[in-house]
Amino acid sequence: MAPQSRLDELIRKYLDRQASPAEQAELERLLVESPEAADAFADASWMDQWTADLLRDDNRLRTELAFMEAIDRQCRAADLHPLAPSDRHDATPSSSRSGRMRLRLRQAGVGMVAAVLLALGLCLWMLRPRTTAAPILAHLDQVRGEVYVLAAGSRRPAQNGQALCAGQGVQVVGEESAVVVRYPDGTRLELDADTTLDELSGGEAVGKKVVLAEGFLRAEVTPQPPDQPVVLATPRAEVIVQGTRLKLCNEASATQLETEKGVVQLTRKSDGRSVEVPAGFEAVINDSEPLTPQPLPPRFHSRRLTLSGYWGVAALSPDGRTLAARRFKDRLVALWDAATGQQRALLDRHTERVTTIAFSRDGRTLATGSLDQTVQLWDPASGQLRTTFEYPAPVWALTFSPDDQALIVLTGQEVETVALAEPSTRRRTILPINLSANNIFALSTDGQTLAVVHPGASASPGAVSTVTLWDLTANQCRGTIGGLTGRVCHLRFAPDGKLLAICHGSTVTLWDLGAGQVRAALRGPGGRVSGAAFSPDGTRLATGHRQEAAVRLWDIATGKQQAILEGCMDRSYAIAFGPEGKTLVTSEASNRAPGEQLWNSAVTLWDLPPR
Amino acid sequence: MGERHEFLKLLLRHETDIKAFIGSLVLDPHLRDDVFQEVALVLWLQFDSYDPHRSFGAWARGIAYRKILELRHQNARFPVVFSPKTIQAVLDAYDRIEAAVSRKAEALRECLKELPDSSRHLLTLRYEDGLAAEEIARQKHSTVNAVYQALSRIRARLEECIRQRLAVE
Repeated sequence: MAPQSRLDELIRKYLDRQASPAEQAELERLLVESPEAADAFADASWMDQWTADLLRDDNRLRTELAFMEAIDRQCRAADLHPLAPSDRHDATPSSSRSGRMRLRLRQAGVGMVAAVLLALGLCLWMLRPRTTAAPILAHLDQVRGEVYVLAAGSRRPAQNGQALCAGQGVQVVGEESAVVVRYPDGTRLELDADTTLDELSGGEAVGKKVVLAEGFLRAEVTPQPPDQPVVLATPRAEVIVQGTRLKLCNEASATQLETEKGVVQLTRKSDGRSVEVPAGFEAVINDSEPLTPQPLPPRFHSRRLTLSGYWGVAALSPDGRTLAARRFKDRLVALWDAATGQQRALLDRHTERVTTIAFSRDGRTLATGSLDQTVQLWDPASGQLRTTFEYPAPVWALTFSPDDQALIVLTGQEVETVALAEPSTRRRTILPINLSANNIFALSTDGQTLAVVHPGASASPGAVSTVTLWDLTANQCRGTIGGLTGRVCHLRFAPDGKLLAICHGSTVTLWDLGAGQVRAALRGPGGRVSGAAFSPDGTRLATGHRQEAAVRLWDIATGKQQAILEGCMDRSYAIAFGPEGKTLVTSEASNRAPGEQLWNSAVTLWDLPPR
Repeated sequence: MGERHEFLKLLLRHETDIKAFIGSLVLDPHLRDDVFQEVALVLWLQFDSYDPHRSFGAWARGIAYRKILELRHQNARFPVVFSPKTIQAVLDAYDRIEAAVSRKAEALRECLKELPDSSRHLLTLRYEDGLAAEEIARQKHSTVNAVYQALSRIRARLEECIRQRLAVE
């Protein structure tokens, strides 16, 4: 038998995924031949898993304690202590006033004054303000952006650590806003942008209940007493949870549920029909589909390349060999070998943030546009700057014409077409609106059509948005697409220009530009869609999600999900497919890294599963 | 509702042990969680056949063992490097150590609390965040070897702490 130290080394290398094939074979032989070796292996792997789980629990507990201490300090300062009256008495330190009172008691005679004080105290107790009628059910944590507490028909800005009482609600407004509702038993409800939670209820001997009026939540429910399940209600459905993880989305047209762990009971309010939705299944309640849980598509972890610190703006060359990506909120663009992950060049000639990147159709030119009001053309093979075009406003989007002879550049209020062979030949179209970073828009791949979310669309939850289509050749409006529920956060034209993907809420509406009508609506419980990309042949769509560490692939013909690419950070964003649709470029980001204030971000290249 | 509650109670109590067994064979943490989900579903569907006089952990590991073999059989690229014979040996080992490790869990909990913050942070990066030693080294401006050595020292300290705590009981 091998010495213990060799066995320990083999086990550790294996568990750290560092063992060579020869070392794995050696370990296997030992595990089969020696029960003692197998026991040591089981013990080491057991220790790893328990260490991970105990650390996670303990770290959560520490956060919770720090959080409660912060509330305690806050409540003392505001004289609104959340503890019970008896606890409050114990927790309040002796004040100088009580010290003086004790002195007077001694001076004036204990019996007489005590009687007077007793009577006075009794009167004050009976006349005390009754402000603690509603019990505290939960607290707010990780408040980000515009978050309000709803109470008695009004709303007030929410703060970290704020207590939520029975009858109150929470509203999250805006793209970058989010909050976590945290219950004392560890149950968490993560609320995403444009979400309204109404009417928290519960208490001792009563199960927790919340109403998701609109939006998206991810629930992590700790085991509840059997007779007190958590009830998550929407106008269409009730979800009964004993202890599980799930995603729940409610929009005007449907309620969608995805169970990540355990089993939950979903009831359709209109007819009282109930189904159980186990882990790995989803269910939709709307006016048209039967209530039947459907298995989620297969999941894949097929990253090829991850570029940490990069985000959002990226492009893959037509031959799939070069990945261009901009650093997070930066002016620098790097070129990477997509096969090896080696950085080939750093393009550092822009002076402000790069907003758009595109390869020419033949892959021989890379164009970058920036807030510095320039477009720069590069040789992607050498990383050399070829030429710079200047503009009177920040550059927001660009694309090459289908024959690569011209570059179409979108700035604040203009679309300019530059003939690359003769740069002095420029054709300008003045737009009726002035685009800025606040607008959502997309330029068709041929540069002939601009889609813009109507600037008058309300930013409040429940808004109905409109998209305007602008014919850039004729410089006139082609039409509008109205009635889109929820905030439109992303637009993307199909490569052939026949479809427009409109991402609004948890839905991607595919608009047939030729027929002027909806081709399909792709709905899934992945939460708010953050971005979409069409495959080169236009048969597949990839969607990224604001509150999901995954990218979803859809079959456009059937409207069904084909696969889920897992292993992203907290949120994902689909950018572009590679050649022949075999690879996909996405962005991902997280702001939950321990001790990190800034976002972690990455651009990732995935190998896609075969169909 | 009662049966489901009983099932959830047992599943949650044994979740880490089941994941440890699966994770010893399926090293990718995301894939391990996927397999665990599938196993949990089978456990629920077959809960009628569970004999409450037997160890739930052993029953669950048996089902996890069959699920891993099934996945391995269905997909030749399923990332389990061990042969069925070795997987059986690991399953047997987990059954043998079950009683001993059930006492160790509480000791480990206390021992983790005694670690200095720097050690806890390193363990958190490695185990909770699932970072490879290379990534930890990059974050800490250190070398991969130094990270391995530090982790090794922490593990040895935890083992010693557990041994002492169990000896006192």
